[in-house]
Amino acid sequence: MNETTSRALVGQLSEDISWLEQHCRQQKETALQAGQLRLAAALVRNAIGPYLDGQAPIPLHVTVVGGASSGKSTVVNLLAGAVAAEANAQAGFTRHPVCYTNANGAISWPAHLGFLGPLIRLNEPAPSSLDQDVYQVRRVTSDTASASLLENFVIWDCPDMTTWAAAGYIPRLLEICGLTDVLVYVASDERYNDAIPTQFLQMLLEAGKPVICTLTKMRAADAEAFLEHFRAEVLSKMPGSALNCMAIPFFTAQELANPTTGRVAEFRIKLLNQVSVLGYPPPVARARTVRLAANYLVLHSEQLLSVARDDLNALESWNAAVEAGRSEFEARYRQEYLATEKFRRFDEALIRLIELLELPGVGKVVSNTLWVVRTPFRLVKGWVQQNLQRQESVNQPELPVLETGLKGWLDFLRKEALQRSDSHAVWAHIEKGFDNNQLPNQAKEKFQLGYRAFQLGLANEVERTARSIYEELEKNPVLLNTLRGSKLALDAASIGGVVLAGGLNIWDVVLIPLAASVSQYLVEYLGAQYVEQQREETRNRQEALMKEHLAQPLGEWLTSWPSTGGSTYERLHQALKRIPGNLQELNEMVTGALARSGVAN
Amino acid sequence: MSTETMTSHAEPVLRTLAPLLTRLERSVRHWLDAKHLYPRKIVTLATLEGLADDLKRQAEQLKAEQPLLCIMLMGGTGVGKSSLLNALAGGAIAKASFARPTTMDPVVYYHESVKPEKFDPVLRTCHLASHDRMPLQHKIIVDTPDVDSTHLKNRDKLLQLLPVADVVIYVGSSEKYHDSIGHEIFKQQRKRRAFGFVLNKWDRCLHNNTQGLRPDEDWLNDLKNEGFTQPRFFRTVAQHWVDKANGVSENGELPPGEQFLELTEWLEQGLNRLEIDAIKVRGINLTFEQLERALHETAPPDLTDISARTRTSWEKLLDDEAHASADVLLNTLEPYQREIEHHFTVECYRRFRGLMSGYLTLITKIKYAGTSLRDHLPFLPRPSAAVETKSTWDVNQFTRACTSVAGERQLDARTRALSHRLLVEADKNGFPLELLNEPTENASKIDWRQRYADALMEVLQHVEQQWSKPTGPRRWINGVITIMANVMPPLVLFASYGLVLWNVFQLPGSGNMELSLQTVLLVPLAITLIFLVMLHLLIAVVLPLRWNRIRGEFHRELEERLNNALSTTFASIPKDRADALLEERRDVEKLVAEVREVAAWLEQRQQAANIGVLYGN
Repeated sequence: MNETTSRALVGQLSEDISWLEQHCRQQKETALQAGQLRLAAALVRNAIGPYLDGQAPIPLHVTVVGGASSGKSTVVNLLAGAVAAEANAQAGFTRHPVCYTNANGAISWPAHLGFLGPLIRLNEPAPSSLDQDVYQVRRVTSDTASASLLENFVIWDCPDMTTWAAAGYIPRLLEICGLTDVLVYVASDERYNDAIPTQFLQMLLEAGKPVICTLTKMRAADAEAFLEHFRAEVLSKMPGSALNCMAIPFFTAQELANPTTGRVAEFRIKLLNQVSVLGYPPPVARARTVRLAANYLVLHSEQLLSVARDDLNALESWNAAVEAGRSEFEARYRQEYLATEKFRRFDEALIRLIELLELPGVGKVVSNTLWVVRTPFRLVKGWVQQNLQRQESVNQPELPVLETGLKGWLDFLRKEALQRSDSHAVWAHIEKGFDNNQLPNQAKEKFQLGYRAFQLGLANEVERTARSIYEELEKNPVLLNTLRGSKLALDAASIGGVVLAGGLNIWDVVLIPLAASVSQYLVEYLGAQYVEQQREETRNRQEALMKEHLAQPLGEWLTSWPSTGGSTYERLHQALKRIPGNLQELNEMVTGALARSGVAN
Repeated sequence: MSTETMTSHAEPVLRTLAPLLTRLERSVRHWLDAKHLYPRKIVTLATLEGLADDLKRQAEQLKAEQPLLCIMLMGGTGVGKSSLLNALAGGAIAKASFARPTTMDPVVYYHESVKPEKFDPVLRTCHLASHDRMPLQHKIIVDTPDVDSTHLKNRDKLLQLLPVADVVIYVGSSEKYHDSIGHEIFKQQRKRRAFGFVLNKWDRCLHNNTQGLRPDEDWLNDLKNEGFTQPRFFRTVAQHWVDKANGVSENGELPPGEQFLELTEWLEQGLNRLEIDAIKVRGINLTFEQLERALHETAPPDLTDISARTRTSWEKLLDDEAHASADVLLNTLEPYQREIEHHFTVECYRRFRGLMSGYLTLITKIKYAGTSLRDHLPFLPRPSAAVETKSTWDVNQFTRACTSVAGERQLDARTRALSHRLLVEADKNGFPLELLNEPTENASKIDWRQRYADALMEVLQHVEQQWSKPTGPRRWINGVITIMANVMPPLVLFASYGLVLWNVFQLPGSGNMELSLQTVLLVPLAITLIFLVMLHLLIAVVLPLRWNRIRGEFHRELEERLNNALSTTFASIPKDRADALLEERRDVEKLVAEVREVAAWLEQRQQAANIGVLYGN
């Protein structure tokens, strides 16, 4: 394992997950899953990626999140030890993450491709209300207490997640949450049990982030009771548990103007201590972040991919429809063409076979004699055949049968697509393919190609089988002569039997031709049975050949149609195929890297 | 309606409106309950269901002496809805503390003179608090559960309550005035009822030198974008007034611009009787608007043209299908052409009598020996899946056997494919598929084999009849030949006998008597036979009876009949559906007309009332 492979892996994973997130956002009612996916992608590229890349653990990241106007900037200021973040009365003023660092602390940002995903660093200072995919770094001059924190940490002030404009910038917030080593969750007395922030807190706890909850704005006298209430009402229902809860009561604007002095300072030191403890020593803190992130990803990979379940079900139903159409197509070919096809070539083969059994050379005299003797039989047979043989029904030519079958198949699929186009985007996509004739035209081309190959295979097949009926015999003189001998023996035996049984008398004139005819009929009957069997086998082989060259390739092509041609579903397939394996691999890399670094888990 | 007495006051107008609303509600419900062919969206149905409830509720309220105005406080958890109500009431009637959620049970604040039984059923289950303040006599103020906490049941409860509200006071705080959940509900409801706004915790909104907008400015901007250019907007510090009522004055001075007193004033005096009536009327108008919109949404389209187009294109497909099916069916008859020829010949020759009949029966027997022999010879090779024919001709059995072979082989698959093809074609013509799907598939599932068998049998019998009992010029030829064939052979026989005998008796002894005896016996027979053969040839030339000729006839008739059968089953489907939809569309239009009628009536009265106001009443 080296840096290049880990970078490639991280790059691909974060790209795949991000793609899935985008896909998810296009659908309704999956906002929550989209959030989870964004967090997962952020964990991969912002926490695990840099670690595998060998980046230093410092700076650690402490991130402040909470509902609009819940007091995030107050908490940031407490951490920074100065009025770093402007307190805004306007709810949802901050629209992109702002990072605060020491005045002279040089921060080496991970020079990692894809770090912080789509967020671009602003080089010029800008108001935090700039609503773009950016982040900015601001330097603060702090007192000694905060300075020691800022040696190891940078502080992230994030946008809210509650206002109606937040839908547009929650992804930025999640991007930073993926990066973070310590999370400070801010809830005011008004917000502490809001549904959306609570959901957010739950997701971050699931993702294994160490969380410090700060409750703000209550009356100082209520602080203890309020903390108790918050633990019982909100935290007790969480999957993990927050590491710490603390209260920061309501302060006036004057008090907040100088966070290092007065009543405020007391709460500030408490908060600083809690954050510092979680970040000491930095390598351990970072290793923990990475370990927990990897655990979360592996444990929740199925849940993360579940957003694609609907897509997979829809693709599955398409497969089923294609299969149903295919079996109908095959059945129609069998019924409408094969069942009534006679394979005339085999009739010729039968004649050749019988001729072959006649004696050559001197034996020809015997054969000719017998032929003359059997004349009445031949005449009767001819008459009977002419009168009793049923006319055969006219068989339809093969190509039209196949073409009609294909048309039926496509019609069936199109009907299904029309019916289900409202149920899922896959079906709508297919319907569109039918609508602009792209799918049927391609299918017809595919059919033409397959048909040509099928014809080539077929020409050989029938000709070869039919010819082999007599050629096999011609090539095998021993067998041929044995058969000829047996036939002669049969003729001789039947004639001889007649003569021996009745002696030579007038009746022999009738009986001898009859006996010769009976033996001939027997031979012809056996030959016909043999050819018939070959014919039946050819029929089966032809069906198999059709399936191999036409039905199967067409079916496979149709099945994969929605997920090819650069469509969404092709990408989906790729992402779904790659993500689980890549996550496992990433986990192993993390385990390896942690073991090598020697930091206890 | 013009006979209604014009009144100068709004009240009687509202009261006479009640039965109209009830009638309208009944119509809407009737329409909702009726079965419909056109698929209706669940969302629209739910909307209509809700609107019917609204109508009922409004009608109920209007029946009262003076309608009660229902004012609801809506907002996030902790914004101070309860504090606001307590402040308005001047005492703790609603629980308010940080240990929320406190307002699981909504609180209804009402005048003691109003009987709670008159409340809407949803309100009756709430916590009731009565008062004796006359200015609020005809208003009830409801403190609702929050919209945004983790207790999702609270939100459901609020959504249950909201339809009852005439006026919603959306309470925001410095933190929550911008929150998404409340905003969504506001956007959903604003088209349906009146809205006022309170920005509570005003004291926390006043930061110095901040970058962003002040919350009230920010919120007013939002509201402007939603169309509220001059909203009823109050900035309050409810807690201050609660503390004051309790005799505690912890927070000292009120911040500048606090408007709690103005809010009270508006609630008590501003919302006077005239305004209440106007709000009620406006509420009803909004209900009408919503109703009309929802009905328009659910009205089925007019498919008359499309169905005609669909029919045309279907007929073409059905023609092709009939042709192909006739081919297939006829193909299954092909092996039995000799049987059919035989049968036809027998039928045709039945009209001959006497000698001719005997002669033809004999010839036919010899000629078609095979067809009757075949089934008695077990060792003869037979085509696989052969139809078992009896030596006695049974059309019924024969055709059924033929069609079942054809069905198994091709026709069943063809019929399935046909229904798909038709549906695709209909879609190309713009016909909504969900309407055609069921009838078309059903039509393709009926017993087509039976139909094909029937058609085939009819055709066989019909063609046979045509051949044995022809019409037109052939009938005359036929008649002449029949008479000739029936009459002439015996005549020829007798004549030749007569001639021979005449010759024998005329010339006695001139020839060999023995020889002439044979001549006497055989020559007339030979002459007759030759005559019969010649007649037979004549019949064969004039009335040929060969499979090839019958086949064409068969095909034509079969195709016609199949086309008929397919058309009657399939081609009428689009039209039937379109007609049914048109009927449904008319129902909706009728309903819309009814709504408009009541709305027009209301507008007329409203104008009358307004004019009355103008004139100082």
